[in-house]
Amino acid sequence: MSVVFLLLPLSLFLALCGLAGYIWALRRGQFDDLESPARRMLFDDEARPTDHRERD
Amino acid sequence: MDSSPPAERLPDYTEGKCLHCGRDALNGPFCCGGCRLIYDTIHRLGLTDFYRYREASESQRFEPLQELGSTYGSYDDETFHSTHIFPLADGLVQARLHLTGIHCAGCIWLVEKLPELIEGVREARLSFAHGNVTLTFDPTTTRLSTIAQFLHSLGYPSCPLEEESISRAEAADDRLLLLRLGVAGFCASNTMLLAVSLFQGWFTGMEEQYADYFRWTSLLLALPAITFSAAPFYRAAFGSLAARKFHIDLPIAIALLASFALSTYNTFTGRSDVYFDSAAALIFLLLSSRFVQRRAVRVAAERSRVAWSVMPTFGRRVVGENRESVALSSLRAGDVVEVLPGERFPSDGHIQTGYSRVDRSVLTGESQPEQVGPSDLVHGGTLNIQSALLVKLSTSFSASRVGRLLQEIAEGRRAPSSFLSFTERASKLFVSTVLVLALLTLVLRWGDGLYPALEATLALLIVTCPCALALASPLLAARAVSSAARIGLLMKNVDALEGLLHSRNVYFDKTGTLTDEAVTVHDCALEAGAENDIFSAIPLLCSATPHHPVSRALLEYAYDRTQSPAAFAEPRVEAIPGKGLVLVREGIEWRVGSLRFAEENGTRFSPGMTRFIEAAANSGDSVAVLSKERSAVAVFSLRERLKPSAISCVEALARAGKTITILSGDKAAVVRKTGYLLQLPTERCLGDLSPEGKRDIVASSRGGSIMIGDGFNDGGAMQAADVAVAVRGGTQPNLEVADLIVTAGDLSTVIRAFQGARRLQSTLWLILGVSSLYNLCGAALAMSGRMSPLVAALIMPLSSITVITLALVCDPFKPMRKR
Repeated sequence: MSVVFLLLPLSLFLALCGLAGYIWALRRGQFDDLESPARRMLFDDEARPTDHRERD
Repeated sequence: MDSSPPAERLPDYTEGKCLHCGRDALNGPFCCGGCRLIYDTIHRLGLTDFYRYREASESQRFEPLQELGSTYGSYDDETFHSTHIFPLADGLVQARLHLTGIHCAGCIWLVEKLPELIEGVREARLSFAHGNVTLTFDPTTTRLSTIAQFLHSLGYPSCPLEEESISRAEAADDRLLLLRLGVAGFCASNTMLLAVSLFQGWFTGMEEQYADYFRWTSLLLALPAITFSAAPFYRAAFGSLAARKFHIDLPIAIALLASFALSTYNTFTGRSDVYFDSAAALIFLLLSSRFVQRRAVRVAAERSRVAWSVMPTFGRRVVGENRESVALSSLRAGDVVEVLPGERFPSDGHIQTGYSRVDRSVLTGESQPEQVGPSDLVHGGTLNIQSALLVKLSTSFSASRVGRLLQEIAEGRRAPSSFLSFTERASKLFVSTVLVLALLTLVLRWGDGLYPALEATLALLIVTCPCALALASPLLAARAVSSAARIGLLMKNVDALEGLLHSRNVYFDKTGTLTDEAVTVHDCALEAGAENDIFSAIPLLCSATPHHPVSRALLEYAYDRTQSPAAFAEPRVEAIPGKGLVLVREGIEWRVGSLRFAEENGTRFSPGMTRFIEAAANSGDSVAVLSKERSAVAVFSLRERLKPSAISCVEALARAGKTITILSGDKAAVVRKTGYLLQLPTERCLGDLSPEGKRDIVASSRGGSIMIGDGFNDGGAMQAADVAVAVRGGTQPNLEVADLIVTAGDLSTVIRAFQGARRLQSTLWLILGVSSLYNLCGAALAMSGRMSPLVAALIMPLSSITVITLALVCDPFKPMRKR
């Protein structure tokens, strides 16, 4: 059962990676507008080459 | 006017609904000329896919560009460029504009199609929640004004994002809140996992080393939540203490710190009870509800952000032979400016040269344009209609009437509310009660020992956690805001709803609020057999002065009755100011104008027409005459149309016991006539009021005041009122001042606002009732020492869930089912 001393930090590390991912997405402004991407997904236009510019 | 495809051939025609926007259309396939224009444009550009994506909604009414008299020319100015357009790499530039009228997926689709429709536009990206579009374009190929005009023709008037720095600060604030929320969520979930293990150990026994390990890890995990995530609560709670006030966050802050302290002590001494998970979870829940509320209110505020483009931002200074474009703030008294037709005067002044007609409705609300000539006074912000004028300014913009009014509005000097909102009063009471009870518990349980006394107090604090007030009421507010948006009511200030119920005085503006903006043709006497002739002659004549209200009325009337309207005005139309229009075409002389104009020319009237004119005079209507070769072929009676919803709205308000008054800048006789139709006593129908006059009346009212208006001239009055309701979303600055905005101009929404306020109130009472019951039982148990903080921490989520569910399920503005 002493393996829990190892397992706990390990699982916390995984959870921290999740948090880091969240913070990264937050910094890049992905949570600023939650409505348009949902609707944009449904448009049937042909794909256009879009330039992915860093915002803010 | 473009020719549009005949309605009958259209495949998606639903009886009674506007083809373009989906709202009710009373006569014909479109609800208004604006929708018809946009429909044409969309078809011409081959963008009919739009109709697959668009959703019908109660969006704002659209005004075509020509009627606004704006060309977005100010967007091309040097000074504007330096503050609003930013250069990017490879020669492109970026600008952000705020668009009004964005409400569905179709709008996103249409706006983002811009690169394919305008050469030089590289990208257009819409942020739906804020209604802002970020444009990337090549400045050598296209201009921002062209893009703005195009967007306008598609139904999206634009304005610059004036407070760029403020919106960036708000965005940063939002992100910080989300960061705190994320961290709290991380801490809460992981401590909860550990807490489950500890509970298990509590029942079946756990070796000390593991229990210690879990407790210490929980402590470390809870630290970020308790310090970073909960910081706003501490700031609010203890900051307000310095101001000698009790903030609702105070018991929360104390509970959090106390539970953390006790749990830390227990961790050090190896005792079993730790509450890190409850504290972290509470922080997470509270932050979530704050976030939801902020979002909802923010979206409502953004949607109502005004299009300032109607107000001038630049003036054209005359220096010798040259004209130089200068920013409004640089204009001084003594400068001479040139004002072209369709432009607004940049400040107050006197006319130096030129004759023209001026639309003063922005200040007076009066629909009839006024004749002006040299040495006449004109005010900044009013619209020059007919010909170019040179004006010598007497003040700078900020000292002009409009400038001063704008400043008042911008400074947000609102009269202090005559009442605190219900939740504010409840919060105050609650906080003081809880603090008193906590001290009492400490004293009562002192006899059992220090540690049990502390535990009992902590249990009390946890169990009486103000979930109803701190958790559910923000959620309720957010629900109310989104529920209201669905019926076309934008709420910038939820407390204003309460003000609706408690205020006794309701003030209405007349033009545009109770009545439709322009005059309309009420009835018409036609010479038999001449219909076609008449309806094709009117556009030829009246298109020469499309801004004139009578022209507009006649054009609308003719347009509705003919299949192929003329596409342009005859250039040979002679406009006689104050009288009418004359056209000689193919040897036939046509005249349209006032009755006096016709009489002065010796026009002959048939007996039927004379009777018609008398009847119109009796009911107080004005009359327009169309004559062909000095013989009257058509007589139109004109009146300001009362909005159909106005009568029911005023009636309902009167029944609710409100005192209703009409405040208008229009002539007193006209206001009294309107009041008569609404069954209001004459002393409650006040006309000839200036914007300052309206404001003074509202400011001096007692018992709470609600101001319902639409135009800029209501801004001061709305500022002074307890609750400000703006009707018909549009382009006036008073939208900034309004608490509630009725986007479709339909007054029945105002009644729905009252009903929704009442329903919201009862839901709040229900939630508080349930919460109080629970709190009483819990407090009793805690104070008698029968409840440990652990049990309290288990029960508290139950109450939270109950009130949250009650708040989220409520739909105060549920759209009524159509019969």
